[in-house]
Amino acid sequence: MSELKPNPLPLSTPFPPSPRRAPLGTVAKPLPIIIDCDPGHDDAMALAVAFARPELKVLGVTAVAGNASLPKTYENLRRTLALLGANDVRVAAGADVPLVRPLWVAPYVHGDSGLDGAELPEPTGVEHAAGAVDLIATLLRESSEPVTLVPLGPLTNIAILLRDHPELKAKIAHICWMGGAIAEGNVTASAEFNSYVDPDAAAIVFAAGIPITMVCLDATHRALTGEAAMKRLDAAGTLPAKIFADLLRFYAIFHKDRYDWPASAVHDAVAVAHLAVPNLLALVHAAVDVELGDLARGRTITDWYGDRLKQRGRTPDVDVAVGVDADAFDRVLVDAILSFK
Amino acid sequence: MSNPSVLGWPTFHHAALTPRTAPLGTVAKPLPLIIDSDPGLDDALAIACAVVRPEINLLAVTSVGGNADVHHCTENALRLLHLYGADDVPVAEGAVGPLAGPLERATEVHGEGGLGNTKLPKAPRTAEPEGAVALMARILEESPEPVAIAPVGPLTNIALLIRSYPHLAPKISHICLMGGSVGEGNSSASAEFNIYADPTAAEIVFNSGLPITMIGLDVTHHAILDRTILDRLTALAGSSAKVAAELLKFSFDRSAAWGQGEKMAIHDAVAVLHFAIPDLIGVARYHVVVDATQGPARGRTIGDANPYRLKRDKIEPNCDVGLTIDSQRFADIMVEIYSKLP
Repeated sequence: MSELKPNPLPLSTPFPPSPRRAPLGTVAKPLPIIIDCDPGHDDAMALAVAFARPELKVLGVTAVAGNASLPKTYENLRRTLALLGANDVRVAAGADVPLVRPLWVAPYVHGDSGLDGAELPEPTGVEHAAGAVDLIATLLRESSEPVTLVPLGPLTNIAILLRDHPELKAKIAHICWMGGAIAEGNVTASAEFNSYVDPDAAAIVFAAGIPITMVCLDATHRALTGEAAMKRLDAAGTLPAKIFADLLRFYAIFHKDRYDWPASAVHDAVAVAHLAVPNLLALVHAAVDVELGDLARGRTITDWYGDRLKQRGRTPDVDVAVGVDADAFDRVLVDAILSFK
Repeated sequence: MSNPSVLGWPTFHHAALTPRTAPLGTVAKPLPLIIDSDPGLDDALAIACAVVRPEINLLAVTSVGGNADVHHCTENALRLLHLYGADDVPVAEGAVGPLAGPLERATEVHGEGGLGNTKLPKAPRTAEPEGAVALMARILEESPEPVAIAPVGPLTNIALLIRSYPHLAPKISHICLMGGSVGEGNSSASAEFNIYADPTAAEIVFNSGLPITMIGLDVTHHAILDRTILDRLTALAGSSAKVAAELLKFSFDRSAAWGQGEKMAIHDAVAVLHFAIPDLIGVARYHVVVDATQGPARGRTIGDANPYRLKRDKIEPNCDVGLTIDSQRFADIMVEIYSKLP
């Protein structure tokens, strides 16, 4: 496949540069966030960024079925927290299946455990027995200020939260989701994994009227983590650096097989980094619809063409990531991992 | 610090160009071709290509409701052929609207009559009474060799032909259609107009197993003419060139009024030229299915060229998709074509 060359595919509707509408944490005023994830290699690295950055304050972390079954993602989440020394963070397990459809998992990316490639320490965290949705609701209620939700997997937990606790919408400052694709998906030509697995949940979340940033493949596929990052990690000599390097090596197998890329897209970490780092992403303001039919299931149909939106009576209320400063992201990711001893 | 890279319509995974599967007409052995169209500004140019290019033997023009009402489209086809001195090419009228779903028109683009403000002289004849589908069937039946079809409007007539005359499938050498998009649509973010106007018909055509080339927006949005062509056309002697200039001027003016710059994508001509010119269009093999559901992806031509997924899903590519075009040459080709018309 070495004859593959950058393809000329089209620059259809040009878009105006659009300013970010997601809040940005600062060291002086860290942004309170709740992460909902399905670790997952890139989820684990997203957690590293979240706990490393002083601009972010992680109130809690919940697990959802996605990259692997719920027991696995929950265990992987708690093992990752142990690796990061985040022993006192509140954790809970959420939905074990999508709202409507059977679960689709990705052992072809993440291995059978959901986090193959390295041995992680024993699980930790302060468990919330009443489950993910209750934990998120509790944290939202307890917070004196609105909280940003950072879902990095299928949106099942978030959809249930919005259905069960509509009164808490006002406590959600923003939803910064890793998922979706404007152009080509990864599970299918139409759909990215997180939206493919639970499109019904995604449709609920996008229709909720909460400000959303969609960090989709169109950005994350442009921030590939490869040799440069591996070199820095391998040179570090710390246990977290060694484990993350091993995870990256396993994660790279999929990207080589499917795309013939020498590097991996650490999707979820891009969404977290966006909340801590200014000017990391190029954004376009667009309207997003989620396809629920079988053929294009989970496609996030993204429209920023002014005349069409006007005709359809739609407002471009979603920040959609269409570009990324790949060098900056590489530094953010590796610096984050290296900050753990 | 480098700025975040913004590359417009983004991450399609680099389908490698593959050799064309569409047959190619030559001067020695012109390709027998039926155009099914909805003239239509760009259709007018597509028909001109088929009339002029010596590599193509234009057997018929059939009409379909699309850009404008089908009666207008039929009349436009007759008058355009008259203008081009091709009154011997039979014309027949086809479907007024889609097999299923609402009637979609693009009169805001092409004008109510389909040809902007241009009024063409009446043709000395009327359409064949048998209708588009029967005419196509008869031509296929009678032709000693397989015939190619260039559908450049909604695929209603072609779907009816496939469904009504399945035994004639072997007589169709290739379908090179203008429609669809692997990337962004125009009628919606998902769908290109010709497919959006009749997704059910498109689904039938793409699932037919017939050899197909999809010339979609991925390539036609790069088949751009701009105002500089107007002087070149009006400098030509024939009245056809003057009409073409008038049609294009209507488009440029409208496009400028819409704030989209003074240029026009000549979608339909590309599909016809692919049969005549070997190296104008670069294609890649894709598996394409049409979304005929009622959701937001309605009318989308879902294209996949990822080898991993095709293998996983046990599907074979079913068509060539146009991905690249020699844009510079395109304007010269159009001028040359009109230089040979009356």
